[in-house]
Amino acid sequence: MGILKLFYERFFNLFEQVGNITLFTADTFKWLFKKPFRRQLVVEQMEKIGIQTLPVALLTSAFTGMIFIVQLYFSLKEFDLEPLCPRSLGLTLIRELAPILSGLVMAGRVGAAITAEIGTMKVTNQLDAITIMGINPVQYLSVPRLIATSLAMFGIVVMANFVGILGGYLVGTTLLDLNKATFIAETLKYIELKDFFASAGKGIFFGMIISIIGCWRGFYVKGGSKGVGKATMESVVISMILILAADYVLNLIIW
Amino acid sequence: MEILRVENLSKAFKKFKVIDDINLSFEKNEIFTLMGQSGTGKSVFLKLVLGLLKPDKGRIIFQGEEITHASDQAWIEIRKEMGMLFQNGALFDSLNVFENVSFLLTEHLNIPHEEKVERVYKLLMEVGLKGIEELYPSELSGGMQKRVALARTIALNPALLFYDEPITGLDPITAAVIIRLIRDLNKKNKITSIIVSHSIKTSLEISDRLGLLYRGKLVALEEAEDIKNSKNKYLKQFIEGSTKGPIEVFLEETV
Repeated sequence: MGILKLFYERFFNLFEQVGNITLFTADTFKWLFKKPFRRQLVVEQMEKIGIQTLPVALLTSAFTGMIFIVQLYFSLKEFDLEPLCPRSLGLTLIRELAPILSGLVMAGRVGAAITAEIGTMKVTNQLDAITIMGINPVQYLSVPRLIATSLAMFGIVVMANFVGILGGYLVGTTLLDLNKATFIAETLKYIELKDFFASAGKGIFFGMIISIIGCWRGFYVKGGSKGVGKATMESVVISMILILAADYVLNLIIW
Repeated sequence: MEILRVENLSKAFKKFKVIDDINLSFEKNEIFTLMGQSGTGKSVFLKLVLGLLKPDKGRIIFQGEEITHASDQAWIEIRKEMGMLFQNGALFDSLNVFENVSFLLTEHLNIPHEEKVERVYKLLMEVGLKGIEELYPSELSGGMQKRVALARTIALNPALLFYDEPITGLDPITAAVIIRLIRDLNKKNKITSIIVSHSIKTSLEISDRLGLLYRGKLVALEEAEDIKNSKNKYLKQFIEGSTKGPIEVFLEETV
């Protein structure tokens, strides 16, 4: 009976949370198209988000490219298929690794920061203060972050693609015996425009997930500073799970 | 002339009635203090009137118009006529003093920067502050934070101003400064003030009328000058700070 009750409570709680996220997303998109447009806030957020995420995302992508080429090389060499390395590296990075890893890095850095900032504003009455001043807090806080995170993710994913391939190229052509001249040509040969747009599109979508979840958890913080800490952790976990799930669904749709 | 009226206002959280059938009206340009022990529903009352919480029952009429079920967009306009000074000031901690005080001017008025600067200096002078424009809230004392918050709140010259425990946690001299400011704003700017407080001394000193909340009910309502001779048992007990009377006090026997 106890287990059934616990299961029922957990299920009900999950259902409630999904409903809350859906309503919050709808609310954010509703205010996205209403005046006033706060360009300055979007620019400020983009600067902040870019500074927070770009170096880590690029480092992650560079090392992934470097490690990935080594693993590919030794796996394929057994079958004399090492010329396929550049092609596999390029496609895997652009289609999967760059958007996913950038998304996960951004969820950890930016998603957590958004929740902590808005959550602190919530527990110190700053959100109520914004509301009482005749400003919708979703429009003031959530909308600029949604735009900034999505645009920043677009840029970061594009750069991460390039840096990841560059990392693979450097290791492949210096430490391994891959041909410099054919590496680039082989990499680009199999990458279609569709792959590039899908990669950047995934980045934008993951950016939306990160900002919506970050803001939503911040707006609904309960229980003071302890609550802010818990909400920050939950925001990162939920964002990461949703990014992975969304990636799966997007892959089914795109390819 | 009446500025705000609540009729049969009720609010419960789960089964616990926090505000229970309150009828009360506020006159233009008066200073009204709502007293009561902690947890008697004073802050909830403010949140209901400000539209931060929806009542379960009852009506709220502001400047002759019912606002109980006003839309989000309508509340944005209504709140431009209202202001609130939070117990902790609720200053935006990521903005400096200038940005905090100019917040409403930036959001609601399309005025040139020079005029904004002039108005911010004037507002800060009104609350007795100068030369702190570049400081952040964390660099200010509690009293200064409250004064900056007050300057921010009166930027659009609201018709109605709510104060939530305006002097709690302040030293007697700073408290006297805040009291004088409330009185000055009431006289000079013709701002109706509704104060929530449990300080008897301040309430008697500053108010035209006082009300007492107990367990969500309005159990006393008197003109300030009649308070000392009031026969109301709740009021008498509250003013005397007695543990004996209709207000129940739970005391544990200690050795």
